Amino acid sequence: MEKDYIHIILADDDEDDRLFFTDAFDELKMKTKVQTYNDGVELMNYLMAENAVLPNVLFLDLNMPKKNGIECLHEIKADKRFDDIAIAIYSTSSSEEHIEETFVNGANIYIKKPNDFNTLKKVLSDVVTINWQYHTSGLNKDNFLLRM
Amino acid sequence: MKILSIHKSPLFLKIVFVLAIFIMLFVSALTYRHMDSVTVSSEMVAHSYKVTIEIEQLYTTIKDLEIERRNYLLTKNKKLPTQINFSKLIIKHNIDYLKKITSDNPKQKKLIDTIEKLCLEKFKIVDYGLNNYSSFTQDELKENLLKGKKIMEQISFKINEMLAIENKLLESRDKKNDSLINFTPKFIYITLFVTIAIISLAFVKISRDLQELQTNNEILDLKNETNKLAEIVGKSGTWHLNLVTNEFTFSDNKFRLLGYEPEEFKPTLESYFEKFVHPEDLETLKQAAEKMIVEGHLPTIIYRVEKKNGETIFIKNIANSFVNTKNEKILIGTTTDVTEEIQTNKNLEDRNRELEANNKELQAFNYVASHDLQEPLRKIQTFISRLIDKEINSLSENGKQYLIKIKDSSERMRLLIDDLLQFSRTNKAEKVFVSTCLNELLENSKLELTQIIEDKKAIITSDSLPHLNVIPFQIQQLFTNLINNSLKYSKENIPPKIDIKVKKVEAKNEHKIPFNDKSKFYKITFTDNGIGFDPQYSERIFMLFNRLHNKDEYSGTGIGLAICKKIVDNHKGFIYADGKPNNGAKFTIYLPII
Repeated sequence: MEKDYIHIILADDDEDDRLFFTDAFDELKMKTKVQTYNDGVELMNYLMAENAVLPNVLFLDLNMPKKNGIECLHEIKADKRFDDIAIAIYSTSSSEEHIEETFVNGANIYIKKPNDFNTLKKVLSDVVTINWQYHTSGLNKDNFLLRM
Repeated sequence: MKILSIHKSPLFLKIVFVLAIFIMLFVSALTYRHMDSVTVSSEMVAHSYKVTIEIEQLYTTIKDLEIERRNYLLTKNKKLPTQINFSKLIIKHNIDYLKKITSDNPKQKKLIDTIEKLCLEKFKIVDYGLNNYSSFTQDELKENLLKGKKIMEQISFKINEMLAIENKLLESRDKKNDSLINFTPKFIYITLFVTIAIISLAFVKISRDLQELQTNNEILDLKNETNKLAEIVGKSGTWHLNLVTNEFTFSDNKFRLLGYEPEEFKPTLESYFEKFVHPEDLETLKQAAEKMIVEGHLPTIIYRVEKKNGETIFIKNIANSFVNTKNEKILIGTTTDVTEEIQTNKNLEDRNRELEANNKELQAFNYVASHDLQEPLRKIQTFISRLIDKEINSLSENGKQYLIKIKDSSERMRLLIDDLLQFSRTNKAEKVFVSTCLNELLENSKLELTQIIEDKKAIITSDSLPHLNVIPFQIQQLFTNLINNSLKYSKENIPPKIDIKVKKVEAKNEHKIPFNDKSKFYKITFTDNGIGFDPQYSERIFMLFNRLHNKDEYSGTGIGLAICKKIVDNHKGFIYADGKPNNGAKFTIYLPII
């Protein structure tokens, strides 16, 4: 079934960040459907359910209770069903280790949470409109981290 | 070298000694033989004399017989026949004797045989004369006398012949004897000289050896004394264990190590184990000692001993075997008090553990700084941005100003946190040196700063930079910070210009490099046309949180250049800043070529 909107899911334990995220998409006025989950367990429960509607882009926070972003990434990448989901890491940290680890484990892009709402809007709009096929084929460690 | 060692070996001395004895024996044998031949030749001379005398006596007796016979025939004295018979006996006896002593000379023997025959003939004539003289006619008497005379002449001729031979013999023997006797003193002198020469040689050799021995002894004494001092300074001692006699000896300092005066007690292996070795180490040491006695050497072993005063010290021991001149196997060992070393090591280990723990804490702090501190700040900033976007118009002028101030302060805090993170990252232990093209790193830095370079219309020119073994991300950070620094402190309304130059230099030619050797460096300079700085601050600007300007004028945290310094330190290089107020700054980096 061809969707006429972009299906976006965010897993983030921080209520404010979820709020910024949904507000940004609200203001962007794009044809998107945004779902949010409070932690990795909730996210995986949703994805693993039969007949789950899989998102186009999944935003993963790294530091979450119960199941963190890296664990989710492992599980998603291990399952062929999720091969078409573009995974964007969405984290406060921009430490080399985190970038390295998520890159190696198959995330598609790494976003450091911006500290300005307008920047956030721009970043999110850029990310969801990326031609993933094109982006992924030329992906390397240098363009993995989204520069703002 | 080899000859020298043979010359010095005791074997050489033995060979010389045996040789000398042989030569002396040979010489004395020669002397003995010579003396013997002298004796023999003397005897021969004496013998010749004796023969001569005997012959002469025989001749005289025969003559006497002739005279007595004539007398008798003329005087008819009754006593004369008895005398005649007696002379005959003497003659016979003489002849027998001569026969005997001339048996070695066939010529003489033949002559004496002839003489004997002549004598027997003569006796016959004499006897005939004696028995028939009364009936003798004058002619018969005359004939008898004539016959006797004729034989007498023959005998005389033969005897002269004998005497001549013997004389000749005597002469030659005499000559030989004389030469032998003359030669005797020379021979004795030669023997004496040879003997003296050999003894002198032996004496010279022995005295030289003795001298060498004395010198060696002196050196040995010196070394011994040095060794004693070295033992005291080095807190070490030596011991010897004779595996044959079981004798166990300690050096002076070995006693001292145990807290005793030298030779205060007589050590034995058993008492040493029992009295000094720490009970926990005893078993291991005993096993090691048994192995040592079998294998002849002891690898390094560390054990504890209890000193006289009860103090426990750590002893490091190593031993090897040695065979003495009596062919006894001796173990020689060295022990050192390594208590301090072990204590230091232990302290070092403790410190290491502490440092490791600290490092871990620091890493945890890094995480806290990078994540937990950033998060609330980010939210504050995001909310501020929302507030400014949406609600700014509903605020009074003061309220607007306050909000802008809050925004600026939170911005500043972000800068601080970012820079601090950067700084602690350059502290991290993982320093992987990779051969890197510095040009690429510079390009990356410029890429990082694209926005600000474009905004300020900066012009950056640079030499072609070399390949170098560096920590790539750190050098990139260094370039970024230096360029960023120049851009930040540029003059207003004048486009910043940064010129980067590189040169290969030797340490001894660069007075700023604190060592004076041939080590090679790349000297990279960043020269700008910015506001410069007072030279008195050229060192302070590299200190953490040191700022030369008010933060309202220039947005710095005072961390950027501190990071530069840290990075250059990590590369064992040097960084210096030169500047004049309003006249640009020049940063010089020396990176070692490794």
